[in-house]
Amino acid sequence: MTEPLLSVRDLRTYFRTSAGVARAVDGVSFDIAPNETVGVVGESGCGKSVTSLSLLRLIQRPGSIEPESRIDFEGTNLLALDDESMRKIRGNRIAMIFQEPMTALNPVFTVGAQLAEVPRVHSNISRHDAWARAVEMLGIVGIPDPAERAKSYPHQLSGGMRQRVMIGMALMLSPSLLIADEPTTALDVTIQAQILELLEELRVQKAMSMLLITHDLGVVAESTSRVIVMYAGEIVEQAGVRELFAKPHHPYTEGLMAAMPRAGTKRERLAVIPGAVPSPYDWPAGCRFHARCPYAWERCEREHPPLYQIGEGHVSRCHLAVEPERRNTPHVPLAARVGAGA
Amino acid sequence: MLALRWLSAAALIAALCVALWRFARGRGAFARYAAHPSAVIALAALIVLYVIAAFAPWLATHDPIAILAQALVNHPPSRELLFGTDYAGRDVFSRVLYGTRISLTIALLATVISVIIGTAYGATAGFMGGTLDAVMMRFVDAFLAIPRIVLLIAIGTLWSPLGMTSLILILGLTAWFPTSRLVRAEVLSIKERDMVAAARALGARDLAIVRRHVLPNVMTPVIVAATLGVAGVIINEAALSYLGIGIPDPTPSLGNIIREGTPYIATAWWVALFPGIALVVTALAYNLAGDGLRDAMDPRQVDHT
Repeated sequence: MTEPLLSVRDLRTYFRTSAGVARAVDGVSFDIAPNETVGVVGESGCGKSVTSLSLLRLIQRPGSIEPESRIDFEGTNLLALDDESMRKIRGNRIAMIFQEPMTALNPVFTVGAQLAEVPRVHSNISRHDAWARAVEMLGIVGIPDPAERAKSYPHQLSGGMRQRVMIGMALMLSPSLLIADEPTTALDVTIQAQILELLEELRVQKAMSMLLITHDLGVVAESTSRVIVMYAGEIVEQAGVRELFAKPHHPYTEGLMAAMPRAGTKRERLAVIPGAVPSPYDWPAGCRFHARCPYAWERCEREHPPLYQIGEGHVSRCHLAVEPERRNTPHVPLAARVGAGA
Repeated sequence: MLALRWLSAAALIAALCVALWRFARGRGAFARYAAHPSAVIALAALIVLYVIAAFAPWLATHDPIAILAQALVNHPPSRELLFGTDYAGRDVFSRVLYGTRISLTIALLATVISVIIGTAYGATAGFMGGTLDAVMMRFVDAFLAIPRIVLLIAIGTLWSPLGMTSLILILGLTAWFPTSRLVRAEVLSIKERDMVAAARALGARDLAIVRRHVLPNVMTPVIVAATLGVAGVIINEAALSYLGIGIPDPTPSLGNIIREGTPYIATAWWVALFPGIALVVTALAYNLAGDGLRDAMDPRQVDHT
């Protein structure tokens, strides 16, 4: 295997508040190879956004990355860099796009001015050249009549156009890693597909890697080659995208897939995973999913499962890996029973 | 010296107009402002007031500090003496013109000082956050707890005699506390917006974030607050002059003309009445214009097309 572009080892991002320590990301390790798209899926509150912000060291107080964590990117440990060196990596080598293209753009400047600002932050390019590059980039991200559109304010553009502008801002300096945090969640389904297509096209063209964060398995299936499933601040399963959809191992992954609406099937109520993500201040002992799991047995309440190797490049944090026969005897999860009683 | 002040005042008004134009452009803000008849009238009144103030030397019928004649003490309004004369035999009409000019200048410059200090202070506290923010805001709270007029009287008494420059300074230096709180609150919400996170993710420095993202987005409420603030400063300046701490006699300001007319209010009502009207009109015009601006520039009314 080639040297990974990004290698995250034992990433722990904790928020120390008066209410206690919230372990939002609690020991996450993964690699991203050059030219690869990795998807991260999970419910709200599972730690996927905190993971992505940690990669850019954009965690705000009271959050902090624990000292034993390592993030190696293009051969340097990002966590050992001083603030100024880290700033130079942001936008330049690693860029990020956000979920809400309306709020991520500044309402008082034209989109052209905002695009032109990006290269000016990192180099001594003239105003005029920066503007020319901004217009060129608007064309690249598929905005018609870019020279005119560059003079528009964000509120004059549609949601899809604004997200294209955001993508353009992120790609202005040809980063080698693009982090996309729910890039299509705020958009119409038809626009979603266009934006994902555009991202993939530009990723190939610019030879970038991409970390695509989403709660939508459909988006993952469409655009990634490898998938990380996160739950309660940990990676619970990781596999190639085909493998994951064909043979999901972790009961949480199974639950996510069952909860996915499918076109063409008979209309019935979607399956839900009972209960909710536990509090990061107090993750459950043993397997963090045991209360919501239909297979859980007493070992799960007692023993925190390691990431078991399931197959080629496929790992799962579930004791079913060593006691597979338990899968044949599902039961009502603890959370559902408590929920019914309350 | 006076010419310099007027030049700077004119430059400030021009800058304000440019700022207004920039922030209102493309948002239908002018249409919303025009929808308030009271705000339009207020704006017209302000323009008239500033024209009067600017051209006071040409409009005045007499020298505002010259004593016309011993026989003309407390003379009622007439064709030659439009607003009559005061106890010393000075022309009230000319004094009101000059008083308006001085009061407006003081209020405008003091407001500019308070807006600059308040914005810088509030933005620093809000953006830096943490202990610095807490300490800075407790300091502001301490000063806000003292009624402004009491604070002004205390400083004014210690600093006497007050000239125009020192009066502008103390009015400006005591008026920025509410502005800083307003700016801090706005900055706290703006810095949590995705656009700030996005700018950081693209490698922008803190200073660039403040300059490009924070300040332009707090300008709207600041402009509105400043407009309303001018009214407050005019009243405070008049109050100080009325109490005899402000602009010293014989230089006219609206406040000290009223003060000089008060003892004779039963016999020579015109001395206090006309500057009083000028004061009310000025303060009211600023308040109404401020209300109109607030509605016109309210970001919640930005049309999303």
